[in-house]
Amino acid sequence: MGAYIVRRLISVIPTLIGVTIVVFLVMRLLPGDVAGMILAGDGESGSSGNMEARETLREQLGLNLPLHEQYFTWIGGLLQGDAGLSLWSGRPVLDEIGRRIPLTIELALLSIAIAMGIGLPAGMIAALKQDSWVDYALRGLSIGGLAMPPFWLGTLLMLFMVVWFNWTPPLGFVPFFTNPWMNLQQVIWPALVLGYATAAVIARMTRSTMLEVLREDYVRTARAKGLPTTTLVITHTLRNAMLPILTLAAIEFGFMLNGTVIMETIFTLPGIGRYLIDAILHRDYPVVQAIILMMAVSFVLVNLLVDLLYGVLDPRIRY
Amino acid sequence: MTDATASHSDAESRLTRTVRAIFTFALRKPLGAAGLVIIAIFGVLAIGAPWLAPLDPFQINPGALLAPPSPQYWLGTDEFGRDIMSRIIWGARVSMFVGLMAVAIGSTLGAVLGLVGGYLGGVVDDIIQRIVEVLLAFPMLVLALAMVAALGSSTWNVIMALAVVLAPNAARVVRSSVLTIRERPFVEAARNMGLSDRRILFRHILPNCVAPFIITATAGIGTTILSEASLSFLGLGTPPPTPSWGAMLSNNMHSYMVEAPWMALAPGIALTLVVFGFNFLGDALRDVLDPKLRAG
Repeated sequence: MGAYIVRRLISVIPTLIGVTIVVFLVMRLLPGDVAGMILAGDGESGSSGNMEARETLREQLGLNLPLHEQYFTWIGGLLQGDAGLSLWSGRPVLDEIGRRIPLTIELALLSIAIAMGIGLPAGMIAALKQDSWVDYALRGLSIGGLAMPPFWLGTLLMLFMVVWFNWTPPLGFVPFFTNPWMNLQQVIWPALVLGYATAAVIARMTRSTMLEVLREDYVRTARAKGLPTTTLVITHTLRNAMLPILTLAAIEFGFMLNGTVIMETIFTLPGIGRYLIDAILHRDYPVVQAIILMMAVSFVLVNLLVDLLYGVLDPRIRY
Repeated sequence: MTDATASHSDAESRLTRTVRAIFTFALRKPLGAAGLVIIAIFGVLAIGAPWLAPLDPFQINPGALLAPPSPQYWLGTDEFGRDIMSRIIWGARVSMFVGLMAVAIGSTLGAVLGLVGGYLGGVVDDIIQRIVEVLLAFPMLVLALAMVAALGSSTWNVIMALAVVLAPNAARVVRSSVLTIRERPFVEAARNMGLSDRRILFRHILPNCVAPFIITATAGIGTTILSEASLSFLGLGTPPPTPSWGAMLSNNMHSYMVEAPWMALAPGIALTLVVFGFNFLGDALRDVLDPKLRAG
């Protein structure tokens, strides 16, 4: 087991290096020249004029160096906890991200909790009552969750609350540790929308794996022995159905990162996702680069964690 | 019945067979058939938009800003007085076009990579696999966002970005089927006959990977249409004034939607239906085409 963990940890390294290269290259795909774009974005210099200003800016940003040197400078900085300065605010990128990250983590955790809290029991009930009206109703709900775009659901929820309850989107965001109650009132709605969409996926998967496991011989034996249904479901069936569900939950975490971008935009929450969109619109590319890298890295790490959890959950897996 | 069809000309019997196949499919997979019907309807809307749309989707009408649904404007108008019904119909064009093109380009690219890697193995396969792994490490929308941010937002850039996002998945699916097919006796036989690698790959292995490829591709179209809508919703997809369902729901619209809730309904319903259609068609195709599931 120890050897496996070490091997798995090492295997992540090339992926992470690849991720940094992709992020770096994508940001250099910009047709033309970032410096020129930034200057043009200021609306001051036209297309040709300010060559001197452009050269100064290029030097400032390190864009005059050869590509591989730019890459190593960037990575070197990252390893020392320096992702450069935001072109928009002029402050260190990591400070800006650090201020916004707790909200996004809160939103993602709350959404996953809601998704598992609804999806697991719903899938289990649907499987146990296969082909009853409960099953059909739950499946109908999960079809809705799968097909309705989260950004539409979020918009509808928002409109619904504004029109019917005179709710107004709060102007200032309240951090959780300042006032947990106020904070939850702001975060719960987007979390519910994201949670519902994900619950649909989890319920579907839970239902089908549960149905599979319920047909196994050992479950029939356990039932014949006269075990109560609760014991049967929890210790015999659920544990064995858990692996694919967990894998899915990890994949869903990646979608969750997509979702936070959208939810934070709709519900005007100052998290990482919204910051990413703002940074893209402002061409604040050190920020864009850092956030995308961070999202990809956290996605890789969550998958790693799930792989390692397999060994704990499934006694048949011995590395 | 069979005798009668057999006596007809070849083309006719093929037609009867196709019709019967579709009919059997509809009976066995009602949801899949419903999906097919929805896709067909939106497909017709997309192709026939210039003739089917009641009004010009770009026509600004200061006399009818935020007009509620009425016989003249079936689904109401938006903040510029543009007819929402016509914009929905033209929006089907954008959604379907982007969805199909991105999946066609991305899946083909991925399939070729998977085919070549899976067949050749060795260093080539290793390199392709590493690239696939790295691309799969990105959350889909985030990678697309990054690429559109770099390339600038235009319909073709959105298609390219989504294609790159889709390719690794197709590569993975095709590669894994190539790996099993490569070991089958008929491939061995073809190799012993001295056929070229290219011929074996494209004439003997490729046709056997088509089913999993079609399943992944169909299921991918729904997600891709959603991604395009999400990008447009965020203001980074199809640029205005081109009608796109995602952009019609975008955040700048929220202030108008309180006054004119019909603006929020139609594009969302259209999107939901199309995504629903492709997902159910994909599911049904998987059940029908996957030999492992066919028995049940």
